[in-house]
Amino acid sequence: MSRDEEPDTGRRDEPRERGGGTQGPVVLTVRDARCRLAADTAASTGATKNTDAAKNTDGADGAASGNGRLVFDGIGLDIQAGRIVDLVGPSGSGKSSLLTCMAQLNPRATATLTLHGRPASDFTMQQWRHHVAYLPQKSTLFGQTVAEAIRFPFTLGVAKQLPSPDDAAIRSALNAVGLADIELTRDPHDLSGGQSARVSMLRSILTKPDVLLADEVDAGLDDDTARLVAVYMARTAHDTGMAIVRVRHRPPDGMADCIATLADGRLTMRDTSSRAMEPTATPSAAAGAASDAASITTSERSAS
Amino acid sequence: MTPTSLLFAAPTAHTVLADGGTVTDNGSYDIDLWGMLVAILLVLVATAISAVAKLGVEKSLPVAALRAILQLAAMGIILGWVIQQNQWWWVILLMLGMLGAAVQITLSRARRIPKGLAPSIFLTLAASMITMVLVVVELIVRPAPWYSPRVILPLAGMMLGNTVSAVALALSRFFEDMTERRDEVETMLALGATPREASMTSIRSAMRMGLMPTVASLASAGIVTIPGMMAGQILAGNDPLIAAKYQFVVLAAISALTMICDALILRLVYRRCFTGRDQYELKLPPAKS
Repeated sequence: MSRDEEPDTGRRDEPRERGGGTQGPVVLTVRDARCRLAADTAASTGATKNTDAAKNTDGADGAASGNGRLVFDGIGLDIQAGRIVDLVGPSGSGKSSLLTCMAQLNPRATATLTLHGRPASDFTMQQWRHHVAYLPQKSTLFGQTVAEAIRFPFTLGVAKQLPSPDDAAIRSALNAVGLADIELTRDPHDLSGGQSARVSMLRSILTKPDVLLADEVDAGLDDDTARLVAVYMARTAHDTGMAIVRVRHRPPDGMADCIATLADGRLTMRDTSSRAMEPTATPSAAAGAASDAASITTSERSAS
Repeated sequence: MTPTSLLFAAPTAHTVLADGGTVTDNGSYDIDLWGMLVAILLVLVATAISAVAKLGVEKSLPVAALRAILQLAAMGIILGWVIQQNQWWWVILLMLGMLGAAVQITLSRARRIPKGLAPSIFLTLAASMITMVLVVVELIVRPAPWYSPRVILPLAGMMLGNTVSAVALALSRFFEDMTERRDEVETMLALGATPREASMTSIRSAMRMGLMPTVASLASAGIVTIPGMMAGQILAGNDPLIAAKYQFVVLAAISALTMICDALILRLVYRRCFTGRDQYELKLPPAKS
């Protein structure tokens, strides 16, 4: 399988500095991720001639190769259990596309993916998305009450057999992210944007995915609430080994073990687990430092 | 006496009445040239009103009326010929022709649906037609011979007319709803929903929409309206009670068939909103203003 021939990027590198971050086994590997630009709507049927599609183990139809401009091409990264990766980069660089690509939700993107060493083809799409949970930027809640909204995933076939969180678990999760004043019986329609964003986040986290792909959860939150959410996520990652990838536009909050910068179709990784806080680093400064350190295109850790 | 023979006695001899009207053997009144001229005059009056009031339909109205005359005359001639031939293959052939036209009309009536739905629509309408023939004709009316064109063809035409509008409505509604629910559908997929689970809300909404005209016609039949078929039979000189029974059979069949049709067509097309890898991707032609 082509996956094995590729250089194993950094996952066996002993971390030189072991800080507070948890260093877990690799949960999710992404290789050869590519994404077509959204603009062309008509020319998608005849785009199957590229033979690169044959390499993809996830049953990709090759629609992402062929004609049309690419947002990114040939990106790879490893996600480790219990670690938080911040994905930063200029807007339009494809951060959301990379997240939806990992969750296999993006019709314009393909990638060779493994979860716990098993190729994506071992999973149904529903199982994959249950384990690799994408949390959309825009929160959409279903049901008549907040509790119903949070238990919604457990009404779907893929999670029907699993125990849904009881009221106490939901209550304590709501309290932890600053929603202590929201009753379980509240109508989701009455929530503010920031409140429903947090309920939507809890809905995903309480399904206990292996990887959570959080797309700007804290975008509409004030600083204190954003902090609560970040702490809750970090605690979840630490306690349960859930890997979390965050797309953020805020200044670094010191919670990330690793900062991945996506710019001009390249991904550069920088380990930050040794440092508790980087008060001076802005996202753009971090991006600059990262691209200086690693000039090779794909999945290179600047540390190695 | 079987209902068939009562309903469809051959119009042979005509008797000219004292007041000038023409009556056929079984008591119905033929419409003579004079009657047709009066009807055409009515269209002209409506056209004139439209022109005076600047409604903008003074061109389309006479054209539509002319089309109606030609199409109905053609249908009358063809039906008359097939009834005279009384051969099962002519019946089947005519029904296939009606099916083809029905697919075309469905496609033109439904707003903003993806391309390439014709095979699914054909399959749906064909299935409903076969069900109709088996149940309504062979189980309820039981004509002899089984293919009696006098029974099958008018019933098939009526059935198609109703299922076509139900299917067109359901399709328009479904794809419109799936476009509006984009965020919802994508969120459900992200949470591990199958395309079917993610489409269910829209499927329900589309089925409800497709059934609304049928439910309305069931409820108002006999009070507000004398439905076309019943009116026709009474005009043709049949016992109004027999006409009422036929009308109920037809309404019952239509409500069941529109439900079956809507369920079937949505089952066949809902996946068009998704890629082979269960990703939401809906390509609709640009909106016509």
